Amino acid sequence: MQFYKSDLLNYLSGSISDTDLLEQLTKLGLEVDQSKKERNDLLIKLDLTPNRGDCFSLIGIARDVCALNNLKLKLPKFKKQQQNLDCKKTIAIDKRACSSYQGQIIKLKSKGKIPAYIKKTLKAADIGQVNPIVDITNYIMLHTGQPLHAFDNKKIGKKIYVKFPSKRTKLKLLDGASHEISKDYLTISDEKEVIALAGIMGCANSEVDETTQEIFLESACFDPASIRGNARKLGFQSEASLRFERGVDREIQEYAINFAGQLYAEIFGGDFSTIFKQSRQHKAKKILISKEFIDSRLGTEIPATKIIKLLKALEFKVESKRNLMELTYPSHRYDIEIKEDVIEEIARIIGYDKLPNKRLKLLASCPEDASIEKETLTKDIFVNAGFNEVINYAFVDSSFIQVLGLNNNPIELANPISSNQDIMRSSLLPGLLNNFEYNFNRGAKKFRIFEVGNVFTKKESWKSFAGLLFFDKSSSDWSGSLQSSFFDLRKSLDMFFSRLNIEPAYNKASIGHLHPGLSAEIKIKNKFIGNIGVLHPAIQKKLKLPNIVLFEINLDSIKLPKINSIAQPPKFPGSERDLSFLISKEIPASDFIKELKKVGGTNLRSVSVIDVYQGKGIDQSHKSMTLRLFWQASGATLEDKEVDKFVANQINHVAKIFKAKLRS
Amino acid sequence: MDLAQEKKTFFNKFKEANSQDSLNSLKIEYLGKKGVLSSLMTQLSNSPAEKKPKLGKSINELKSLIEESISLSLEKIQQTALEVQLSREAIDVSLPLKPDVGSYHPVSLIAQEISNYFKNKGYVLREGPEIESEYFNFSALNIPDNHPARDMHDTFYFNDGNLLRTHTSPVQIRSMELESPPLKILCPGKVFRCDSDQTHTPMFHQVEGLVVDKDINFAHLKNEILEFVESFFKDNPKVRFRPSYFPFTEPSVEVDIQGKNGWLEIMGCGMVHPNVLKNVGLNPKEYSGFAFGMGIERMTMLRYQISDIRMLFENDLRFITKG
Repeated sequence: MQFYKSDLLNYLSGSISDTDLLEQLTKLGLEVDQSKKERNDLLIKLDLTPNRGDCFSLIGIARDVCALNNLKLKLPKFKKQQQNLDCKKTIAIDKRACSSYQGQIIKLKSKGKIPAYIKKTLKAADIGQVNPIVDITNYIMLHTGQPLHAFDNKKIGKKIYVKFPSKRTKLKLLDGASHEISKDYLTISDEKEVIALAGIMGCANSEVDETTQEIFLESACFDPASIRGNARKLGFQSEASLRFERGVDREIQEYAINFAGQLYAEIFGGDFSTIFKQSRQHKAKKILISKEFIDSRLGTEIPATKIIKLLKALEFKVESKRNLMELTYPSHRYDIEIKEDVIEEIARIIGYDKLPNKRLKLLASCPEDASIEKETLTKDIFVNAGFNEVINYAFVDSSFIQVLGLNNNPIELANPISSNQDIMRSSLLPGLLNNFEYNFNRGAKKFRIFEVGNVFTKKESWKSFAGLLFFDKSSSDWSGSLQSSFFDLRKSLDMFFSRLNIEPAYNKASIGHLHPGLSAEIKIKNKFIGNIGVLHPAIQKKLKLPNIVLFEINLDSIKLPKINSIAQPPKFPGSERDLSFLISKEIPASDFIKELKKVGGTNLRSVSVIDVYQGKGIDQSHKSMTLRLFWQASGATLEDKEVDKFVANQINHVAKIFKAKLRS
Repeated sequence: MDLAQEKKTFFNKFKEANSQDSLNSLKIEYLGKKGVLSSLMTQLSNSPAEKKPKLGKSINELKSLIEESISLSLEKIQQTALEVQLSREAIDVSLPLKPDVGSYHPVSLIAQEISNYFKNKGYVLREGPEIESEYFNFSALNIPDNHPARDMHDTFYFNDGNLLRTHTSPVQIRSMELESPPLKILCPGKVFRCDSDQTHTPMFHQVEGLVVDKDINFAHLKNEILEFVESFFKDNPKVRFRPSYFPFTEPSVEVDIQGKNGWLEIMGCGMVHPNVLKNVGLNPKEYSGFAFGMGIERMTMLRYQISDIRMLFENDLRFITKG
């Protein structure tokens, strides 16, 4: 809603400075979006909330300002025009959808010329001039909030129906657009056809034009529920629908018609018919409220007299009933339905800032969401490991997903904001690769980035955690070169697992987007939780990317560690043995170690790989692996003989299982 | 036995001994078991008894002199050697290094700061799904179908009728359905609206607080917000509460702080609408509550003086690592 201060002042019985007015409007909840000084006047643009349909009018805004300043609202009175035009119109309304329908036939005596003050009001509201007949209806609407519609009376029939159509109907609106409407659209029809979409826009078939000499002026009140959403479904919003959707004062129809009548008489000269009317009995809503309830919800002690005065200023009718107040809502306020709405009115007029503040003493205690705790911990660990967190949009480009071969049943958005954000991400990797590309193109050489976020497939959604590692050769400096191999990234991931007290298994696997020889699936207790590896060379080539290492795991399938007891470290010296084996190169170290542990006894504390060698002196199908095994007992020093026994067992065992030969 | 001559001979050799090795050999030559001094001692035992004491004393004096000279010289040589080593090992300590510094995304930093603040006040963190139903995102929050308030949310839809949540408020509903009052929860998370310009991105983050119990009133809400603003904005800005409209709160409030160029909107809040309480099976006559919600990007932009929200999602490493 946009208007000049001078128009508003017509309704105030007092003056108010520009600054005060602007501040007051915002404090009333009528947020000032913009204001501009213009030749002795102030142009004000309000950003109105959907509950305040009444303030899409100068009278409505003035009413609030008066209530705040304890001023009386100055409403000009309009006389009924002399009704000497003998015409007939029958009106029938659907009372489920329309509370009042009034109309008057006006025979215009001359071509009117719109005076400057009307032009100024229309211009302020950004409403273009159409023709003098329509300009007046818009002017009245801006003042009263009542949308009026002028039909060319020669183009419509003698009967007016406010009704829902019995079947789908094609029509052409004033703006020239054709639509086919369903039975949910309230229409104004004559005997033959639809002549207007009620509360939204008139039809071209009954449009007023230069040659129009006689109009039928409609001033109606359609229920918000029967208008709501209909204009939007057709793809637009009109000044009328904006107001009807939010609610138009149920009692202002005749006032608006008489206001218009005076202007048509002044500007065109005219003969007027009687006002044809149909209406539904309306029972004003009432509510009982107590001062105690108001105080309990606001944390206040407001004297009853003050409450009553304040509500009366807002045009509530107030009657005392024992300890309660019985309120009748004003006809222009559609947003007041319950006691809390009344409380807001009181708070609003007193001023939110003037209401008291009180410390909340409530302490509720329930356990924290483990998922949030896990996410925070994950981020902490990776940030401490030198990784940079990124946050990407949850929607990605479906074609990019296809290039990566990550196409696992993604969910499509029905109304994507752009074609390259058309599906929900089923993986965080596209985002990380985009981040890589963006930064690489801007000269970044070192990439250690990660993201935690939800991913989605048609079946389910889960919290994912992914990371990307890449160091360009030129990122090295005097201190040495940075490495970004499979194992460099796995090390960070292992640190993460180790912090969570989890022992993952890395198994060779074939994963679409990763290099088959430089990738692994990650399992915890035999359950697949993710993968890690070098981006597949074919994808690298297609996307012109270098040797990037990536991982992605399902964070939901990882559990936070339970609190364990901390065991005392053994006091007695341990015993260490280095063993070199010759085994087939296909045997994973993890399997080999697992078998060594099986027969190593309970005192075998650790097995580490000292060296892996393939090459000269060793058959191509084999590798030499040197392991360091460490035994330590908690109660006594281990005898060499005991350890020797385990070692002998281990050598036999792996010889049997892997055909492993001990190298001397 | 000519001790003077022995002494002269020693010092001639000593002068020549410049290394640790030569000194050590000299030491063995004179002070070793078969050394010069031990042979002098043997000669002494063969000397006439009356000469013995004086001669013995002289030999001992010579021995001490040799011992001292050699050890002093050895010490000096070691000292020099150490100095040479230290100087050889010296490095340019000013050489620049590039430490592997990790970083949180600025939005994460602010989300954590806000979450930690409210956690310390006894709020419990809660999260909910990003893909929501109409019910949780709208209907349960008192936003009926076709209501103009739905225009305030440009919603992303899926073909099955579900949607991307437009605010974190559905988590309120989910929490109230699961737990009974007293409730004091905080829900941070991603939200989505079909909108993109300098101040809007199609995805952003919100954090929402909810308190429900008996006798919770507007004064509590105001105080809670004032204390938060005081903690978050270190320069203690002026705060303004003004009426607004959200279908799920009544009264509804918009909170502004005084900035350099006028008021800045920072959050919306209000008393939980009785219909919302009813929707989760709570009796609004018995319980009341307040809720507040803010955009984390907005708070991030205010904190770091960022003017274009889209910068936060370009993930330019020169930008997002500086929080």
